[in-house]
Amino acid sequence: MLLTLKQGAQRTSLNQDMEIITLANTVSSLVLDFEDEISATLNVTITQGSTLDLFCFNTSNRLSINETYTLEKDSTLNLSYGDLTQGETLRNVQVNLEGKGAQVQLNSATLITSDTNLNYRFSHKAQHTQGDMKNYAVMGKGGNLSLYAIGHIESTGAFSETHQSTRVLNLEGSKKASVYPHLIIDNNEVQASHAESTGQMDEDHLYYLQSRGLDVNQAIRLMVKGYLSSVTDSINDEALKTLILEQIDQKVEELC
Amino acid sequence: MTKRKIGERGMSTLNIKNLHVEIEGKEILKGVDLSVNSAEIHALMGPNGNGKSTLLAAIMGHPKYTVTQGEITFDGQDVLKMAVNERSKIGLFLGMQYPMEVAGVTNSDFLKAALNSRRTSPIPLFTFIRTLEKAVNSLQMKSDLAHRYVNEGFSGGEKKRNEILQMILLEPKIAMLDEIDSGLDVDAMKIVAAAILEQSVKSQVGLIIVSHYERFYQLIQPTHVHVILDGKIVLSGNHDLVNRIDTEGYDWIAQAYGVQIVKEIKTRPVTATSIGTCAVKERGME
Repeated sequence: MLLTLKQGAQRTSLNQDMEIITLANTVSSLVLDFEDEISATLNVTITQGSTLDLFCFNTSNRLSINETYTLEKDSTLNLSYGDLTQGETLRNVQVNLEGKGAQVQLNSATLITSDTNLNYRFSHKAQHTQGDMKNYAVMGKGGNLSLYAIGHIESTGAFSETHQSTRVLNLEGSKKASVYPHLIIDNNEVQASHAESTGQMDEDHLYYLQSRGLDVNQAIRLMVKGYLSSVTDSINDEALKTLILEQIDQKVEELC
Repeated sequence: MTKRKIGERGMSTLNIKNLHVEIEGKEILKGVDLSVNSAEIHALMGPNGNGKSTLLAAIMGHPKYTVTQGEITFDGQDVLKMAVNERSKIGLFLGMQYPMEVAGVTNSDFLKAALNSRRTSPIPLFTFIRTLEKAVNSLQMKSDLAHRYVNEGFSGGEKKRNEILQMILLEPKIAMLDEIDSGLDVDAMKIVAAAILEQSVKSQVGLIIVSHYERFYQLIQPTHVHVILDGKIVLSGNHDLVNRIDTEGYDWIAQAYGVQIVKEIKTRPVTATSIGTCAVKERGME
């Protein structure tokens, strides 16, 4: 299936292999829903000078997907993942920053209730490219997490920046979380950083919320929602943002 | 002294008897007796490290503090048997010395959840917005407060105002304010004091206020003043006591009552380690 994006917003489901191309110098946004059981590939080309806001909303029963993004000169990709599924998830994401001045912002929010393997990789192939990755995961009951976050600035990627942070919150009874942050730098004229934290729900935070009347479960749910809601920070469409937040609320109520 | 009438909410009383509290095996409170009624303003004074904050935290039920002896009752109910949130719901409130920053949780969501926790049906959105706006204006806070994360990126003064904002919205029967004036400049202190007094008159909230500053007590005009030394309230009086402590300190009280002032031991706080840049160079890959 080939989808050509012109100016404006769209929402569609992904249930087979898909190719997406933006038109040059356009600004478009797309919500991709992942439902039922999916095994597919997704290839996206963000052509010169265009901007794509892509939100992937995963409520599938089982997801296995290979995604490749090609960013041409001066293009921008705002890529967000909301994983609120009870099924297993395998997602391989390769972002190729091939054109000078290309930029990618990746935000992911994942509520882990089944085994989840996430592999996110930025390859900075051209000069003056920028990549920023922010991953938030909440370890619910059941399911292991393996998350690779890789920023690779190749020798041709002078004056590029790659940054990443990953935060994992463990709830009581959660399984194993393994996070592998990597920076691979093959050019000296670059900026790069990474940060990673894994921890339990902060006892003082819980006490603070409880001292205002919330019981333990209400406090935990509020904090989990807050943790996952950060994925909507980069969504500019207010109606879409509200909708996603409502769905996060609903899923957290169901699963936490 | 301002005369305050007990209104339709009725009289509430917080009673503390012979309260002993320890933290990590060390006894901090060694038999505190205190009774606070609606509309009263109690100033709790004493050098750092003598038990003021411990008393307030123990009343609110902080899990790190263990009550080893004594009782706390609120309108006859046994507070010590209650979970922290239940203490809040019956009408106790603690404005904290170091309010928590809760990333990702907006003030709006937090306050709505707090208000709804004590209601049978959720607060109507319009009522919530109107109530919040009114409180924000009275404290001269920034109008974007609702959309900001709880205390994250707030200045010290903003955090303290946010505590008072919560007190105004939650309308407790007894509110404890732990060094709520620290971090406030002179003008902000006046705004906060005015908001506290307005709440005191409007809802007859009983107050326990911990502060080191005579200036703040001048604005608040406490009805009762207590001095806590070495885990006990050794002296109670009226506002004159604040003035004397401001000029003479606490040594005269320690001598008169044969009490040793506990010297606070400052420990360096353990802070989260930030992870900075860490780059590896791998040639020949791929």
